Amino acid sequence: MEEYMLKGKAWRSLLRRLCFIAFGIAAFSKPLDRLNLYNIGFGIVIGLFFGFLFKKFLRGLLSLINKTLRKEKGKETIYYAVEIGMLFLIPFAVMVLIATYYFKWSMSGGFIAAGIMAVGTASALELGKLTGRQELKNTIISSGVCFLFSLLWNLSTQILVKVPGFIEGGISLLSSVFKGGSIL
Amino acid sequence: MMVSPASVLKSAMAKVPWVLSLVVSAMAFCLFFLQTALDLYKTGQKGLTFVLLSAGAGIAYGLIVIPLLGVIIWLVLKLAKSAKDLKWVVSSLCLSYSGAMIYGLLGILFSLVFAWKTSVAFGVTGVLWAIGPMIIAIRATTDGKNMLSIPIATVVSGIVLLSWSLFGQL
Repeated sequence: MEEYMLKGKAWRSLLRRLCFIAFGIAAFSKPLDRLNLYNIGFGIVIGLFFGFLFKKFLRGLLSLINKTLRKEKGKETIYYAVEIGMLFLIPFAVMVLIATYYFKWSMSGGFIAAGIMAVGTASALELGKLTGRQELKNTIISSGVCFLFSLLWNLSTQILVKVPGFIEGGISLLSSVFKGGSIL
Repeated sequence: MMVSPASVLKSAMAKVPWVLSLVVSAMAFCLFFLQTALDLYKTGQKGLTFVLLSAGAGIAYGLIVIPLLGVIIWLVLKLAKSAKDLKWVVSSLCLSYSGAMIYGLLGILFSLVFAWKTSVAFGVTGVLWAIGPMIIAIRATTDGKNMLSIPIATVVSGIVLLSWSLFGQL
């Protein structure tokens, strides 16, 4: 692995995780109780899990279609390009937090979709920069993966948005039982 | 832009007259602010005069505020020893709103024909889609340094979003 790829690796990883945490928190934020800990906690878990899946999938597919590059320069080159691409999430993460906590909007989907799509383009561009030639297949594949993931995010959050409420209700019920109360 | 943004930018910026880039940002914000005013007009919160004034305010925003932000970015880049001239930086910042202009045109269409409320769905989305080209444009001026382009794009986009919300509260 080249030295420049190692430089700032921990920071890049931290920033990527923070961006997905922000996305998760914003997506599962409760409009009437923005600081609900169940929603925030669930958002963090889902955001991190989604971010992990997205990263693995994007770099996996880019590795798969760039066999020659992988052999010549190692898979770390592809991983590095994806890591740099993920930094493009930062403006969108900041904007989604402003929209959720300052404007009190409940429409994080557009911000997250735009951010994820920006990652696709940025990763392909970074890969082209590292290899010295821009390839259309990388742009198409990464944009395709990002489109699928933004769709997956928007569809899954529609369903999962009910889960923090169930968790909160379940915990309240259990705590009342353990404190000596009755269910009936 | 999708394949080799730096080289495309270099050749495109050489051909595009700088006035045209100002027209793009003026149009983009005119349409964005107009949609906001139309949304408020539809709910009876504002009158027709406000709608017309909003279009003017949007043009002024695109003609003055965005180029002014471009000047600030240029000063920051100058400190980072960028060789790009002021005209290039301002033009590329203004042109990064060309996607927002397209969203604005579509938004106005849906607002007028289908009576939809479009300021957030089309207007804010357009501003969001300007972030990517903006990062790429700034990156091209700093030889691919993300350390500058990403924070600058974050601040500019945040300013645009917050100032737009202030306008909506007028």
